[in-house]
Amino acid sequence: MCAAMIAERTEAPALAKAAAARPVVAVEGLNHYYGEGEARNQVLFDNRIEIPAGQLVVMTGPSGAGKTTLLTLIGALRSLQEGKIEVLGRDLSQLAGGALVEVRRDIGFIFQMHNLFDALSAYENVKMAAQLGDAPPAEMRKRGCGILERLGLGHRIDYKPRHLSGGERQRVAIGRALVNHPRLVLADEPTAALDKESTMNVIGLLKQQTVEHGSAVMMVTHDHRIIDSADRLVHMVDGRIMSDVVLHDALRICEFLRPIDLFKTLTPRQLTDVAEKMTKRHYAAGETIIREGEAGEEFFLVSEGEVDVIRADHEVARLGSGIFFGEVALISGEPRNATVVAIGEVDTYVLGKTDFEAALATSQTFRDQLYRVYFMRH
Amino acid sequence: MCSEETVLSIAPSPVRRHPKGFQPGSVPLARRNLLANKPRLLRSACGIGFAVLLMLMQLGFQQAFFDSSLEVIRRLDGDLFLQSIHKYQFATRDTFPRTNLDAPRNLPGVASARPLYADWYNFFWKNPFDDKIFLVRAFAFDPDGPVFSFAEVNANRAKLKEANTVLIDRQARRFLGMDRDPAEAELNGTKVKVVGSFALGPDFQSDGTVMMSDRTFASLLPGPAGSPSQVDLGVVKVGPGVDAAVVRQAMTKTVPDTIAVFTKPELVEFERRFQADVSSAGPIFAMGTIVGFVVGMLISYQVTYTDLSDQLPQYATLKAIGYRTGYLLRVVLEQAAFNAMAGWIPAWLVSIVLYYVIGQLALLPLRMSVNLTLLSLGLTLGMCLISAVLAVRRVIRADPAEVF
Amino acid sequence: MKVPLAWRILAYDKRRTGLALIGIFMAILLVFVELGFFYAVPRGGLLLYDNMRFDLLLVSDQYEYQAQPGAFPLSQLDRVRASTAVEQATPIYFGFAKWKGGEGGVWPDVFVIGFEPATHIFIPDSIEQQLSVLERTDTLLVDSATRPIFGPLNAGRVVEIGARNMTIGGQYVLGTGFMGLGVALASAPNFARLFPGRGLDMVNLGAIELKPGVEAESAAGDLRQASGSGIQIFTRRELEAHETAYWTTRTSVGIIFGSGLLISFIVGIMIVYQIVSTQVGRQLPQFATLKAIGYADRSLVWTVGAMSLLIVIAGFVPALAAALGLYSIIRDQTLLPVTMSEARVFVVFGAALVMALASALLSVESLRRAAPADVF
Repeated sequence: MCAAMIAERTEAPALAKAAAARPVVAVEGLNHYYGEGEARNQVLFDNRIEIPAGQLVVMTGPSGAGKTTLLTLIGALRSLQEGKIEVLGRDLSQLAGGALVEVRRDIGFIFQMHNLFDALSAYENVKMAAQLGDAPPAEMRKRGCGILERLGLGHRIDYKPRHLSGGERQRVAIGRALVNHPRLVLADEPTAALDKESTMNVIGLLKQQTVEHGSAVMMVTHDHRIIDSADRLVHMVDGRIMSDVVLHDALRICEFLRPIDLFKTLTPRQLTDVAEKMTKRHYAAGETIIREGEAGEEFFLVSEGEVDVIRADHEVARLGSGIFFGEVALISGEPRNATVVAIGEVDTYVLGKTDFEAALATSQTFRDQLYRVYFMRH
Repeated sequence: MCSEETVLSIAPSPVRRHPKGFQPGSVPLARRNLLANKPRLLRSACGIGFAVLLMLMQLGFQQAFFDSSLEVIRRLDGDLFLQSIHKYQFATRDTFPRTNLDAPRNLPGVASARPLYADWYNFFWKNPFDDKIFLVRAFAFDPDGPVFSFAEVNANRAKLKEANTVLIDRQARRFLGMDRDPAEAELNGTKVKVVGSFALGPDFQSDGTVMMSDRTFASLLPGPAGSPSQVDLGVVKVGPGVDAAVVRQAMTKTVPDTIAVFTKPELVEFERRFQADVSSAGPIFAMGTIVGFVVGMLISYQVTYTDLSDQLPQYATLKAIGYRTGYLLRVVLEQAAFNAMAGWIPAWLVSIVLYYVIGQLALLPLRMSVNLTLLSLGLTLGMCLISAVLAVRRVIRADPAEVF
Repeated sequence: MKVPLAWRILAYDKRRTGLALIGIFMAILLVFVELGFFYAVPRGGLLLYDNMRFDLLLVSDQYEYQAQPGAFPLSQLDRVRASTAVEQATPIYFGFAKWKGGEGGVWPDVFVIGFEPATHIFIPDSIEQQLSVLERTDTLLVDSATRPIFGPLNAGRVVEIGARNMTIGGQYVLGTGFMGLGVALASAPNFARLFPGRGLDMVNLGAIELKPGVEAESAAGDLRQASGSGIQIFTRRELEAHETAYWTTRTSVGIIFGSGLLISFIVGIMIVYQIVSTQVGRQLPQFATLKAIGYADRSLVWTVGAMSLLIVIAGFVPALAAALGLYSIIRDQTLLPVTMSEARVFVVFGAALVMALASALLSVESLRRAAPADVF
């Protein structure tokens, strides 16, 4: 997969990078049922997902998998039955009436049916959403026309849906959803009615939202062209999240790992497996990454920045991008033999102990490489 | 929206989701189509129902207006009637000499020719319960020569031979107190004994009626006005099997030119025409009725037109599937007729109840008649059918695609 | 400015909106007509009084309504005249007589009003200007609204009325109201000659004019105390109330026009409800989308209310115009004083607003079915 897909190196701003910032969506232990009594049918099973700001999440899966149900629950369009959902920092189970309406204003919905008012022009349909904001009228008009132009409808602003093609109507609906730069966008097959050019246009716009405004986007789709642009892929089957893969990080990690000696010998498949299991973690300047004497649970690979390896209060080594550390404790089972501190802002890729051991198990060459380095260090 | 699915699901073929299972053969499409959308049917039925109610109320009131003044004429027990040619309506006093009845009485085929005395403006009745005085209508006749067909009047007429006795109308307006079964009262300042009652009801000129013998009449109405020699109406009965028309021809020759001979239908028509064209109230009712039923008809039209034009896509789909125009038209007309009946029947039933209730309260002879039933049904059905055809003519004529 | 959603929805769907406007136009028109009749009947009953000059009316205590006033002795009027508050106390006489010159040989009843011309008791110019005509012997003025059944009413025509030959001196314009099918004015002496058995001693109405500055209510009170039994005194206001009460409670007028009014009111509500709920129903997903976007339920209810209001207001104006025309036709055909008043316009507008409110409340129910979750 790493070879086939092109990674668009999105340079997300600090805003989106900060994993320490609260997630836009936090779902925990979510179960959902349809029907009553005898006919009660469970459709969502213990769903758990966290979506940070600036992430474009694509949800795939066969129909009836529960994707749309999950979307409606997150969008506060359906009442929560079991579990916890926090959207934009607000616990949905605690919200009612006015507070609920406020949350909805921060969410942009894109439905399969455009649901435009026949009686309103394209611009007016968009304005119905825009006028909920508190921007002055001139600003509102600018935004409304702006987004329609951006969607290639500049010449159709005053047309009513009757005079627009199916694709154009859908684009108006998308414009309506995005005009207020909502912090969360929930979309259900938004590009189903669109041609290739329009699709790319819309995806570009959505990505722009994530980049410039830090919006999180959750999109249900079967369109392969879009899956390419996703930051993260969530696959649902029969109400369960079967896989939840942060694509670009996996890609980046792949790209990053490949030139590194330790990983050179891995097959692309094995590399992807390792890359998928690694999570990105950021450390602030001066932050301690591992402490001497602690138990070792994680394996680190420095992506960006520099770290200090300190043993018994004096610096032993300085590690930079592409260098890994923390393998010793995992291999020997002994406590950490040094303290590692970040010098400046540092990005690392982290592999948990179990995954590390799994990686060792799958690849002889990987293990051999690792031990060689390990013994080299000692 | 979901219209296509709805139509397709009940079209005879092909059937996808058929709630009752596949039914081969023809399906009553119109009925199924209508019942598939209960709220719409309810809305239409209500709209048409109220329009019909409006019509029936206005028409009913107008009919009651006429019936109230015609009732007393209808209750006259006669085949031919003699009245002054100067009479412009029944409720006015234009007398002729009693002797003018002699010649007609002697004609072959005539069984009796009896006088009726009447007055509308000179009898004042004092309500025995609160001593208030009101104008009442008074009829008088020879107790041995009854002229009315009220059973109770005829049963009690012998009692009227006693001086200053009266029969009263227990359906008179309540402020007269006649409905409270008084034993005694005062008429024109004289004490009178009430020896019985009958049920007639007020009309738009008189609030109540008293009946008495010709002698009592004369004594209560002093002067030449009350004299039994001056008669208001001659009531003639022909013998069994005798043709009244023939007798009437002969009779006309025996009476002076100042007297006219009427058959009963003619007398009723004479009064009806006065009430309709000349009286103050007639044109008011006519106007009210016209406005009421024009509005009622237009509302039926509007409701049906709106309803059916909302279903144009469904009809267009049927046409696209391949149903013929004739079939479509039949479906549309059936639907309109169904709508009309769904509104008309409850409105008709409610009207009957309302007629009774209002009739009792206002002492109006509100009665559902064949005329009212047919008229309201015809107008409503007509309006609904016409509007249905107009509403769907686009579908009938045009390509299905143009409708979408 | 916010998007005028209610207006847009209605204006876009011209067919449905047009149909609804026709319907509401009919309903409001009917409300105007029924109210017109309802108020015209007692007004017709007050026609004569509206055209007479008086502050107080002295009548028999057996007074029923204007056409059945009862009678009282002339001496009662003399007593009233003695009061210092009274400027003038004029006797008015009523009588029915046979007009023996009707069309087709019929003898309709003519209602004759007798009075002393010098008292200038009647307001219409057509009477004031012909007072001298009334003074002529055996001469009458005939109301121009007298029905055709009375035959020609040209000045100079001699008609046998009752037992006397009277000359028609001319016509005046007042109206017959509910006095009868034909009305004539006669001077007191002529009246006495026309009704020989009667004399001028028994009076039907006593028209009392008070001295300037005298307050009607208190004067009425004083006079009531001072006068004997068998009579009563009405101020104008009391008279109106009495006549109106007579027509609405003693006759079927209230029920007849009231029921028509009620039904048209309900029909109006239903018509507005039909279009508003249809528009909501047709665009449920759109409304549900608005809820999802973040519109509170309340603002959608306002939209529904605005739709109802727009329909009703748009139907009101043509209905008012048509009512004015219809009133004029009704006046011609029925001779009832069916007229538009400011108050009427406001009352019917208020009724129209109530219709809008009621239909909006009913339609809100259909809004509830707009579930945002179902839109996905």
